[in-house]
Amino acid sequence: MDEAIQNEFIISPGIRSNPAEVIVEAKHLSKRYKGCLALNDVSFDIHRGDLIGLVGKNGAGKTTLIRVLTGVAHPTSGTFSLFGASDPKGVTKNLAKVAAMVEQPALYNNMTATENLMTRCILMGVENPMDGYIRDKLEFVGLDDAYHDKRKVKDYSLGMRQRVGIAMSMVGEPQLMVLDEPTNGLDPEGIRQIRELLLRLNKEKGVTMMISSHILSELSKFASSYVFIDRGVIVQQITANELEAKVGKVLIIQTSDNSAAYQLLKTKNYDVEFIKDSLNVHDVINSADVLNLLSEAKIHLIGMKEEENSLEDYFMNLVTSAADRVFDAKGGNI
Amino acid sequence: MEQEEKKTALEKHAEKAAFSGELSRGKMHPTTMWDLMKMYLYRLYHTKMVYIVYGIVALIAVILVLIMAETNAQSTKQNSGVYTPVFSLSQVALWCYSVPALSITSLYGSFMTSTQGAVMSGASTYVPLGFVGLMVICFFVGKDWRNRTFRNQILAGHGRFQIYLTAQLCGLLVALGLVLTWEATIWALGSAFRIPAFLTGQFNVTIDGVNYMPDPAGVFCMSFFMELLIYISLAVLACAWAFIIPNSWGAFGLLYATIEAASLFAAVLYVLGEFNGNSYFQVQEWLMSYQLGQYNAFMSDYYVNYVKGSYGWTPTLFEGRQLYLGLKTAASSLIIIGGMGYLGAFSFGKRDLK
Repeated sequence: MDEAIQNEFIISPGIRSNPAEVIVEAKHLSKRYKGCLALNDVSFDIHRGDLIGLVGKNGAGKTTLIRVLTGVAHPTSGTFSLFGASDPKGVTKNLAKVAAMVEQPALYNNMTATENLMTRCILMGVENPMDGYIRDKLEFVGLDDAYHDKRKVKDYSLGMRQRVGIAMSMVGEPQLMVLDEPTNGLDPEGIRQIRELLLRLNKEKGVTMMISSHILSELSKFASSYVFIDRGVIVQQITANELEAKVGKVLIIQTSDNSAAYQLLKTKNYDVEFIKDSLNVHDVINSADVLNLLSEAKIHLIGMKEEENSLEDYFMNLVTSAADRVFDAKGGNI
Repeated sequence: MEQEEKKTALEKHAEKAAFSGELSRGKMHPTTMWDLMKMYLYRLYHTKMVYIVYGIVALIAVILVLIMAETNAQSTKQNSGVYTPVFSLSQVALWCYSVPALSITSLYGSFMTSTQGAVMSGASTYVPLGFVGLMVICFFVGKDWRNRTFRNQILAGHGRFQIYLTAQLCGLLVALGLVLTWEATIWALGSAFRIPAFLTGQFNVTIDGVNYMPDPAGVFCMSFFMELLIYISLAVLACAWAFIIPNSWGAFGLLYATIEAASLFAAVLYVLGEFNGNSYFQVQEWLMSYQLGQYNAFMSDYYVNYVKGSYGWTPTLFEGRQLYLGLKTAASSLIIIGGMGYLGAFSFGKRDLK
């Protein structure tokens, strides 16, 4: 074996190869259910090693997107490639490298945890799974006692079922895990444990992850980048660092000519964005600098205020302005 | 090939490591359809319903043979010279997997006289057994819908057609296993109790003034394999419905409705045709329950039909129909297997899963 490769592999288990490598590439994906456009022309990439938070309100299209990417639902239009394959046969084959938990873990309720993992092991072609393999997976998710537990999973608590679901997802050493609301219905302790578990998987086993949630504060604790989705449209794809810069203190201004003010601040490298009839300027160290700039350009200030912008505020603003743009495009008034 | 070249050395290592077990304690091999089949068999092994249904079938077979043995012993003790019950093991084996066919079988049975009428009524006792087997298939597949576990199979790199085909094969295994259980119990226990397997001269039928004593065992092979073929086609039908309707009871209901609709359609055609079955091209003969009715008449290569004449309805005997009926049965079964088999695969391939 190439020594350099081996070293790289051992030293950086969290990133198995070139971090920039695109493992999922979605192009113009749309999904229409009876009279409802659940996904509308969605395009995005997932890079190897990413830990993506898929953020959106209930009914925004998160689950639909995950269902399409995991082969459970067919897109109405558009394509996506999975580990370089975009033909149906290649995608089907490469789905073996993907593990998913959509809405709730897919378990055989009449079986024990070990038996459920056994079905997954057989499907994935794991040889001699009873020879420590299943026990390892259960131990990894903190279900050490479940190996000999004769109880059926239907008698498990929601948290335990989630853990069994994650243990099942880990069978076959997936390279991409797609989890839809993995902490749904868990108590705070359970949420913390699952979060640590996912981080371990990402860091120790190098598993790329896409995790959907509408609890932003939860996602912010481990996501390395975010995809914001609303009404079936991806409104923003942003890294955690970029997002961090956008939350915190924000200067909200209203001027006599918002467009001119926007252009001006952009040219001066300010992180500025249109939100309804005002401008949000992020990362402002001294608000007087902004006011001076506007004054010099003879742009009259109508109103100004400083606010602490939380992640939720940022998301809500983003979603609201996106909705307004859609409304405007349809001929409505802003 | 191009994709192979595009893989970086690191990726190749990661893949190799994954498949050789370096990343975990388990070794892995590239998955095939056999892995899927093994998983289905594993599931069957852990499905309580399968054991219950197999147990019921075996139990009823045992009870039936015990009754036959007891009646036989009483008959010998009393030196009556008549072996009762009138049916032999071969006939019991033959009837067990008849399907529910309310209309035509009962219609035909009501025309039969004396012994045959009684036999026809008796046969209906065993009708539900095969149907219970079909129910197991509907519920076995339905479990994958309810638990949303089809996605586990898809996310192991198995194509939808592979999944469907595996489930169909598994369903056939359940159905044939039930037939085997019934037959094995009947023949093994029957032989142990020395119940004659093939009896002759049990029936005394007079038609057109001529007395017939057909050998009931004479139609055994043909009828048995025809019924088996129909049963296999119904197993395919059950599995196809289970893949089309993501609900066990819904699939089961539609299966029953399909059989009843075919049966009703056959009855209507039969009545409209003034009960005239004396044509090789009768449409209703393509429908399964009608044919089962004919075979259950135990007339060897004879076919009894009631023909309306100047003296009203009189039984008339037609000869040499068995081969044609056999071919039609085989054809209609294959049409069900092909048609519904395709429909199930098409529906599962196109639909969005839960």
